[in-house]
Amino acid sequence: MTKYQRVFLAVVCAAALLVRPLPMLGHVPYRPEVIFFSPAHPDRPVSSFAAGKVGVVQPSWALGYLVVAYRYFNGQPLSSAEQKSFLAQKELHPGFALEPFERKYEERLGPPQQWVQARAQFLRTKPPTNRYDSDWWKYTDGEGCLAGAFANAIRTLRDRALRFGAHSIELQEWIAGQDQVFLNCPRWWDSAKQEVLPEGLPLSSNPLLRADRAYQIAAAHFYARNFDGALHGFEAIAADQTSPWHELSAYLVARTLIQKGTADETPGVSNAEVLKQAEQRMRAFSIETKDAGLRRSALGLLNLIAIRLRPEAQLRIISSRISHPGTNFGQDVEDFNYLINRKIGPEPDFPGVEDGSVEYDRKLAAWRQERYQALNERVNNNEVADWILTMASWSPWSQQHALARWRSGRNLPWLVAAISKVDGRSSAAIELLEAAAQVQPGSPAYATLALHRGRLLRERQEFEQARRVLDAALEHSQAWPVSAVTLVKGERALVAAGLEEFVGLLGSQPLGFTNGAIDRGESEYCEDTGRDVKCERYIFSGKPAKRLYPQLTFNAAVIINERMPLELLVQAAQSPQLPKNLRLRLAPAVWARSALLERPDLAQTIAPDVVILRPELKPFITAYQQAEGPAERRFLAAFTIAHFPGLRPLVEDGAPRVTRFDYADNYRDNWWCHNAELDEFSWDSSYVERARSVPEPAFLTAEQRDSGRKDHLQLVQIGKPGDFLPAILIDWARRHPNDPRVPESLHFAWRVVRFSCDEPRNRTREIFLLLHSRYPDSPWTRKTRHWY
Amino acid sequence: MQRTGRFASFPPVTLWVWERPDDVRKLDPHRYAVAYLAETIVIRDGVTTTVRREPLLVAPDARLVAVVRIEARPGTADLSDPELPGVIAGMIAAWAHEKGTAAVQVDFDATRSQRLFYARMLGALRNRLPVRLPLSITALASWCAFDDWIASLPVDEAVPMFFRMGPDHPPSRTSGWRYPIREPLCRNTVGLSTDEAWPDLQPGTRLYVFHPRPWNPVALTNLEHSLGL
Repeated sequence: MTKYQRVFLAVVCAAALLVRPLPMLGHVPYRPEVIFFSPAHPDRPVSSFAAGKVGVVQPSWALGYLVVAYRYFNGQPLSSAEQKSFLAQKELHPGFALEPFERKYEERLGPPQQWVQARAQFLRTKPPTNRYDSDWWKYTDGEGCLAGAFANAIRTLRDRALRFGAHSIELQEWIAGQDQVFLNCPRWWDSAKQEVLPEGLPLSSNPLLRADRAYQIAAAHFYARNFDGALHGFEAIAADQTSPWHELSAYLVARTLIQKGTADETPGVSNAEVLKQAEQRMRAFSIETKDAGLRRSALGLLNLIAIRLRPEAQLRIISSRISHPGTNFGQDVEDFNYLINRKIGPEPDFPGVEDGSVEYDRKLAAWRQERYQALNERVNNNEVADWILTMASWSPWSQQHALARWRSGRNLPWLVAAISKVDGRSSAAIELLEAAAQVQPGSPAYATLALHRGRLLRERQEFEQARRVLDAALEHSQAWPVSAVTLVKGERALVAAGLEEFVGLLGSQPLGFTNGAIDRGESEYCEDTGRDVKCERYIFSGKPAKRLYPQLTFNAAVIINERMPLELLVQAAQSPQLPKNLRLRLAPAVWARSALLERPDLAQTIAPDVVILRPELKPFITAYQQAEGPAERRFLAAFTIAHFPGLRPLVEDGAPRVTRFDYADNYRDNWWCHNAELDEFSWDSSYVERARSVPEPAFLTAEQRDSGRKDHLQLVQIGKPGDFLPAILIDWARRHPNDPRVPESLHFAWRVVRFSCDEPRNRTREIFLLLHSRYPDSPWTRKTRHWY
Repeated sequence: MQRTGRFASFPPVTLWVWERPDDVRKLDPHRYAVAYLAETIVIRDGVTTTVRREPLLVAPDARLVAVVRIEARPGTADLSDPELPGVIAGMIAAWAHEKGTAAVQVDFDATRSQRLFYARMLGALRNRLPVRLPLSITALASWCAFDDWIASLPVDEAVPMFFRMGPDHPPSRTSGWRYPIREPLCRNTVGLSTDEAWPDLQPGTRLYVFHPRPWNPVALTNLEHSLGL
């Protein structure tokens, strides 16, 4: 290592090699986001999935889950030992996949803290630390020293306390030596740090303590990354048959060689010669040792060395191992994951191509297809690797390949792969539908196949048959993961026979919420003593919180906002099939849409429902209904909507707006955004594409679809509410200066400019001057104290 | 724009280097600084930390900013312990003594109820840092535009994060969009990503740039092209 480099070296174990890079997280307020399913993993906690509740398999799942799904589809369920070992490999599980949504966090002592606790029984003073990091012992996971080091120290401490005596000088000396060893743990990559070594003991001292000290010195070298020093020390101890550490040291010689063989190099490049030596030593040790634990560890490390030295061959070996029941399933899947990812390589940059551009995406897709295909060709004698790479790829090649494999083998994994990739227009659809229909409800692939059967039948416009298939599947869904029910119900909604049936399928059960905790029905976003945050109450669940309320999926919201005509929306909002929490969102939205689209008849139809749900709207809606002509109605529609930032002609997918209906949210979750996209924040650049891909629901007639599109287009043409609403209100003020409602309407026009979603035309000065010149004594003028 | 204060001598562009193996040895240290994710502190009932595990290679005279990310999920993080701000500050301050550290940056998207804790922690941190060492924080864009809570924080800059913004603001898909920065602490820097549209940049603004993959010669060439260098 040169003095010009700061090299943070990966720890030498397969697990650490596979640590996923942490993503740069979004810089967003902690507003709740509803989770119906995760694209990266099965429903949380994934232990149910590992036990065989496969649900609907997703190509986007992390690779380890596809391995498990393959095993179940292939009739080789995981044994309980395999499940345990799969769940124990934390690096295989992204995010919080291992935890349930509602988890009580309990403070657990980490390995260093356990050592401190054990040590405190024999010594009152605290262990020494780096002078800049006095809380190191309290909060770290050991950094450069792995958990086994602390566990070994605790075992030895207790043993020596019995042998030497709890208050003996020997024990104090042993602890002092161990303190020195652990001083090498913190931030161990720092090349400037000096190694800290315990002092050697004279020949006159207790022989056991002297043996311990020799081991402590070698260990200190090891943690300080002085590998030559560590090798020298461990070799000597291994040769000393009288030392209680001689067997462990033989193992540590090989481990030190592994460390040396993977350190001090450009990352990813190993010192092959040293690793070969390590392999020889470790192999010999694994044969000779009688310690079962050390032999297991040695075999694992031999695997790691093989991955480094012979990645191609090892991929073939591991691919074969994970296809069948085995003893080390979790580690094998992790190694498989590592080798596959290493083969595919990191996503590249392209010269002269703007990152994130359409051109970049196009090039990346081509690159990915090429990589997958190339890798697949290299592993195609291996069934599981082939299946996983085919499942995870979206290229046309993968569709053809999956079909070819299905036709040649006709087994369940390839039926799942093929049916997941074809659409209803494909000539293969019929044969796949026939094959999938033979699969019984007890099969782990049943939910996946039912979903795709429904989809294919819908795409073929065989709606009646699709309804039969999906209804039959849902009858068997009691034990399914929640996300599988949501997906199949979502598909069933698309083929609903009529409006009532569709409305009955609108609400989907969330798994939970992220980006903001939900506590007793309320969001953390609301637990605030700040100046201007007031929130809706109990919109996620009732009081006391039990089951989470159903929410709208993206597809459901797009259909409501962009596909259904206003007349049907009125009926939907009044339908007894609609859950109450969704009616609270839909009915006011339908009133606002009716008013904005200048359909007073429909606004009047929905009004009785709206004033029951939102009594605060009653005086505004009454005034609107008493308006004298279209111009005043237009003004009163704008006047009403301007008063209520939560009143919007749209419904949100996922979590509802949290800030109170009549309060302006500081983060601009107010009214709606330009283009009348349901994604009221319009930050999602893929929104338009995603919305376009939402299928048309079967129950809408061609006339209704046309009418729904026109309604949406009209809403789009209204433009930004921050421009539209103030324009109406200011225009009314200029034409009717003596209307007593004008000062109030101008004040709220100011608020719309200030707090609306998009950056609207800034008319605050114009409003301010109008108010202060014409209505200086109005309380609304006094409330409008500035412009910007 | 006149540059003053502790960051006055910093290069015009700082590359964020997240938890990925990165090799940025060839960067011109007069033009680029490197802000690397040094440690992630997770607060729940207790505190756990994870220091950087991925390799980072930098030039000998690179200006290094140690970035410490704090994660405290609402509803599960207990920030009530009065000693906690001091404890966290102590952990972050330790990075000031690492070789090559030219500044410290804290990345914490504090919720409303966590702001008091954050302000106290930053106060304690400032007291623990060497007087001349600059202290930076990342800021939600809305903190710089619609909130005034960061105005009194003892930091040298708050970097408005103009990427992965979520509902904070609808960034345009074409570069040159504008955002109303009102808070003076936010006026000298912006945080950008190579894969999202950039806002209209004022001359003299120092840039922090994130890249969704490890930095590499192609990415740097593309960045220099974007910067007009």
